[in-house]
Amino acid sequence: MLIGTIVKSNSHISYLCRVYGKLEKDDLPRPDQYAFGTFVTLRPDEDSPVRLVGVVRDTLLLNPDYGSLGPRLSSTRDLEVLSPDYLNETGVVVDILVLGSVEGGAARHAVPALAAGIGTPVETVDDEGITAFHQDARGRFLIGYYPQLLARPDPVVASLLLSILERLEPAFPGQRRVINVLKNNLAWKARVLPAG
Amino acid sequence: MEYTKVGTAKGPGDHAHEFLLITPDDDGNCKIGEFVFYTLDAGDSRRNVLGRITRRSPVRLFPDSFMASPEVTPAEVAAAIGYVDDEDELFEVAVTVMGHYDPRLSAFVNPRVLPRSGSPVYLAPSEMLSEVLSKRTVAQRGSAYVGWLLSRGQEDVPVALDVNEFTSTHLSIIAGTGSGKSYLAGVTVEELMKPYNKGCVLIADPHGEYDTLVEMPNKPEFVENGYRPRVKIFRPDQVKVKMSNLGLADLRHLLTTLGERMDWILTEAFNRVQNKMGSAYDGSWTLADLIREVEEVGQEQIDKGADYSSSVYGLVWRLKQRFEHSKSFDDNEHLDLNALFQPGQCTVLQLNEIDQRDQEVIVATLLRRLLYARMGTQKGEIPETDERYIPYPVFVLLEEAHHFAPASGDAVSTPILKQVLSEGRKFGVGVGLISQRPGKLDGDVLSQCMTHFIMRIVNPIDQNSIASAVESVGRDLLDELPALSKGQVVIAGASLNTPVIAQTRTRLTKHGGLSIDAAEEWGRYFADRERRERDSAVVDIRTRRNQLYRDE
Repeated sequence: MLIGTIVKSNSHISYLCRVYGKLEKDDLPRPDQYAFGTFVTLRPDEDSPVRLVGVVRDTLLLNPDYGSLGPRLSSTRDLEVLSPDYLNETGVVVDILVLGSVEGGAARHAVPALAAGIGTPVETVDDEGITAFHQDARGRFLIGYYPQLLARPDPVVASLLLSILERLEPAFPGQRRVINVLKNNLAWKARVLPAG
Repeated sequence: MEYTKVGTAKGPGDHAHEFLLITPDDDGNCKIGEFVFYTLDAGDSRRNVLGRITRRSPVRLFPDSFMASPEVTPAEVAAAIGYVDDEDELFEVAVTVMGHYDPRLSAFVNPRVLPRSGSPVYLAPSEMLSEVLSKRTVAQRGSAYVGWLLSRGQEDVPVALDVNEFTSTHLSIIAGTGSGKSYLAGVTVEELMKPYNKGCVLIADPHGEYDTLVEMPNKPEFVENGYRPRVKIFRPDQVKVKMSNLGLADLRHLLTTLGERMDWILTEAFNRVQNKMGSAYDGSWTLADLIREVEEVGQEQIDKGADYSSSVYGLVWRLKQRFEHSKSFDDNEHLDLNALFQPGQCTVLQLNEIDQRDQEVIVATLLRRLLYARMGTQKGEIPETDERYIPYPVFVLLEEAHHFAPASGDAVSTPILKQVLSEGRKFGVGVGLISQRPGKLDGDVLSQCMTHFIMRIVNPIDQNSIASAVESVGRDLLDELPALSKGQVVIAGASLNTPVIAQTRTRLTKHGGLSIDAAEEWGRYFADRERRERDSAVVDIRTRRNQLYRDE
């Protein structure tokens, strides 16, 4: 499911994706399809075999009209007829954090060499794709971006990782204990320590 | 030769002769006490500089949180977050440099140059260690093969002590109870009695646990070219000390609670009986002679108007009570020195069943006679026909040495023991002290021993006594003492080129000091009692058989 296109980047691994609006697509994405923790994929280049894999870490709402104290020449209802592109400037932007890449079916949890370009379409990843991304060559559970994310000075990272682990847990029943250790450590850092 | 690399030199350690190395130590080679080496250029050749690992600490460990579940290994957690490597841990290992072995000096020479940072450090091969750690080789004349290097395989690196060193500059065997000190002493005696040593050994055995050494003459390992060691066991009732061999201090020690006046009378009487009969070592005064002198001294005082009668009476009573029916002290009998000490002979004096104070006097007297006999023999003052003529060095092993030289200093044997330890080397009298309580052993006595066998010691007081009295053992080895198992021993001092941790070899004769299997003994006694009761019940039925029907 395509949810939008890249409109800006904050860094090599952090991108802003504008979610498709009314005038851009008939089949608009629902809010739960670009929710916090949703896995997405981006192809840096049409011909590239590499697909970047990222996760929605933040949501921003755009509304240029908010805070504008100038006089209105026409009402909102008239604007739909007279200036529909003006209305299109309001919208939703999601912050995507790139976690790794997939090439030839092999997942790589590290900063990818390639970056996505402006206008790169962003597509959600289904459950099978998520499971495949979290498997090493021997089919064992892998979450190699865990330390990289934890190292970020970002208050939502712990919650993001917890939500990812909870989502992955049913897919790896044989490694539930390992996932539990990671989850518990994270919960301690994210929930207990800040409250102490 | 291809050597095994164990790590990479990091840089200097805490002191001048220490360096640090970094190692993942996957094979577990970097144990404390293990030997490693680095190479140094020496002109046109390379020198292998040996060192001993003294400390090891982790520098990279899994976080504690990875060990949150006993069901999950930290390596599994690390693998889940993308760390897959067999070399999980890294250690910083401190190595104290011993030096390169110089065969001309038969010693290690410290080059005073530490390895360069980044240079490889190798595990010292067993062949190298076999050549340089021990001063002797196994079965060489003057060697005592007591075990092998603990960090290596069985008998890979034999530890062969220099017999000449420990029989002249003395030996101590310090160990907690049940850690194998009597066993190790037995091994040492076996080595002394081997055909390549033909030692002259006496054991003071307060527990009667060395009589199993009588097996030695029947073991093929001890027999060679007509040599077969002799083992003489003196039972407690055969251990005799002649009255005239006792010194004034011995008498005072045996006659406890003497009053001031009694002590004066005894001193006077003792001096007179000594002067009348000559020296204590060739005179032969008896108990009756001493009592007579006591009475004469008393009479002289009475004649002068002083009333000494009650003191004389008390002293005579004490002398008679102590010596008249004593099994250990005799007017005429004693152990001839040349019967006790012969090359190729191991003499065991069993002192069990003998009162502690008597034991001290017996040992003190024996050591005194022995030292003076060796002095006299060396100076040519004792004729060959004399029982005191001993023209060869001797070695005396004292079990429970803290009884004979206690730290409290109240044993009559302490002064002579100290004299033997300080002067014995010149006259060929070596002493081996065995104790389970070094904290209770006189510090001077322990520090006079130049070779030390130290086994498992847990008591911190005992550990501190060893640390203060034994210079040759480093703190790193002392720290290992509580962790040693039965039969494992730290050997340090003059008989080896460097301190080692060794495993005691198996004894050839049976060990006599085994712990009692209490449950086994109880079970056997219970079975015997049941059998006796069953047997007596049969007899009862038989004797009552005729009454059986009548009663009913």
